[in-house]
Amino acid sequence: MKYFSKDRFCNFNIHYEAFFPFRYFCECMEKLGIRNAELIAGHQSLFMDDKHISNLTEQKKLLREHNIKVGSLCAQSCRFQYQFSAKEEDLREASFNFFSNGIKVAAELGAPLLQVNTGWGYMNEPKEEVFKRMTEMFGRLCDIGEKFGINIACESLRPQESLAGATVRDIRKLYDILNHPRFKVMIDTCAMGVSGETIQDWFDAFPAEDIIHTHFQDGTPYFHLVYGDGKRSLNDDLKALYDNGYKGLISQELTLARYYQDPFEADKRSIAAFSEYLY
Amino acid sequence: MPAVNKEQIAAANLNYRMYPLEFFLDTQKELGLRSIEFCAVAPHFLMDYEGYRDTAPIRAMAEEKGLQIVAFTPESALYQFPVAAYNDEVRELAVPYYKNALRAAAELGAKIMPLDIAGGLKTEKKEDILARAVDTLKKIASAAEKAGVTIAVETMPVGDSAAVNTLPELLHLLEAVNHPSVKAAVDISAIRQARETLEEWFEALGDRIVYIHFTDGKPEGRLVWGEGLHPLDNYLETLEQYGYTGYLGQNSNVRGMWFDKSLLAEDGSFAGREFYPDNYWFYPPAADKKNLEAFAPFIKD
Repeated sequence: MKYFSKDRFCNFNIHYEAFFPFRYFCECMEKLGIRNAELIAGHQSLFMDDKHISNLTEQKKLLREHNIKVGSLCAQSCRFQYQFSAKEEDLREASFNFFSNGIKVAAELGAPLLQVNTGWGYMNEPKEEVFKRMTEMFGRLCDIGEKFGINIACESLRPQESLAGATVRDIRKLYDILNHPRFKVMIDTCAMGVSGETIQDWFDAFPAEDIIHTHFQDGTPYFHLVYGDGKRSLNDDLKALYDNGYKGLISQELTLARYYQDPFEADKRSIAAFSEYLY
Repeated sequence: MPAVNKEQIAAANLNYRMYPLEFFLDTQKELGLRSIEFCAVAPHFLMDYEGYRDTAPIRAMAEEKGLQIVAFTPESALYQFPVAAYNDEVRELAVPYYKNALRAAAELGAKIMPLDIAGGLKTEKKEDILARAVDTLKKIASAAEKAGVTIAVETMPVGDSAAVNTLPELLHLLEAVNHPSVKAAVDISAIRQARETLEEWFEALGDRIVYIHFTDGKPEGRLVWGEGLHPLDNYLETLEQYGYTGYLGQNSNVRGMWFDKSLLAEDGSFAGREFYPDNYWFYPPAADKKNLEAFAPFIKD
């Protein structure tokens, strides 16, 4: 069955970032006929940090030329430099400034949302302490989001990455405490799968309109794989989104080292796997 | 039987990024180690092209515990400022970033700064990447000399960098930079993946090898000794044979699939206490202890 329009498919350039220029990503997207991109910010293809945002004229031109819409902006939050639950004040403020810049870049590129995670804090401190700092940071950044008209889409992490933000329960708690119109959630099928959850669990926990994005890929449940390379059922996963009235993008976050060497090859297989389910 | 001095074993904080710095240092003190490779990564350190976190309290904390920071390793692959960045703006900022690293290294008492060469593209010629790396290195070499810190350039596997993956490429780079403060580090995991041996490296570089990142593997990966397939005794014999008395940086790093499922049900946090070959991050002291047990028969005191 065809569940969604092809216009709901989105490709994240995370597997292009390491070894391929932004232009190449845009060219591949056009060849594959994909209209929506999720972009990683913080590295060479879209440079920014906590103090500085690059001139993005060239990127905007390439996106326009290749008819690509930015569906999500991801400010690098998985490499330990910046995080939502940092303890030390200097790191906390650097993180705040970095993610604020992420919101500004999202607005400049016309993306509706900034994709983030909860951060992790320390493994040897009470989870409540981590949670408290995380909540405070989200509150501050949601206010910045409000100013720029950008939603914050928060995903859970694998328990290896965070004990304070590893489950749908943690994210629901955050959602309840914040109760902020800019705080939205998203599903990452890897983190979800590792924590033993299902897509249905997430739609049971949140109103469908507040699940605004997905990192939607195959897994064992580990890894972020092209559908077909792991153990998940693409039909069942898409059906779960469809049955629950999901309105956001279906974004491919593909992070296997092998994909980094030839991201276009991975993307060709990815879009082929989806083709029978998209109209 | 080959022997190694305890001072040569330099414990690294890579697996401790979900624990405070003090916890890492306390663990090394408890294990009886004396040398530290301080990886300049958050949350343990903050650094960019404008400045860095105050080093004095860090040095004092280490020395109070009888530990000496012998190497200072700036993040040169995962963060924004790779040495051979193709983005000119990024590469320009990389120069003050690494100059700050050299200053911080000196303030912490480190004499060696291990460095990776990343930032190049698969779509360009290796020579172009190499030329940019040489350019950046030349710009920071005199700062290294002034700081009394030797930059120790290592190779990286092809999966992690588009250039400087092999010994010949590194030799070419060092020749082009041609500066007494820019020397070589062996990353044993990278040289294995390049199908090279320690012998080949010592034959080619001799005493220009000033640091070794020294871990086990299966055959790849960066595992604690005893967890992989490589014979520690043979490696130590080779080091002895070539008269290497420098540091052996323990940059093991495994954040794999193991976790205690009960942690998901609890609201309390606090990870396990045992050694899990599939994940060092939950409780890195267990990994460090296991590693030291492998070294124990060879340690002379």
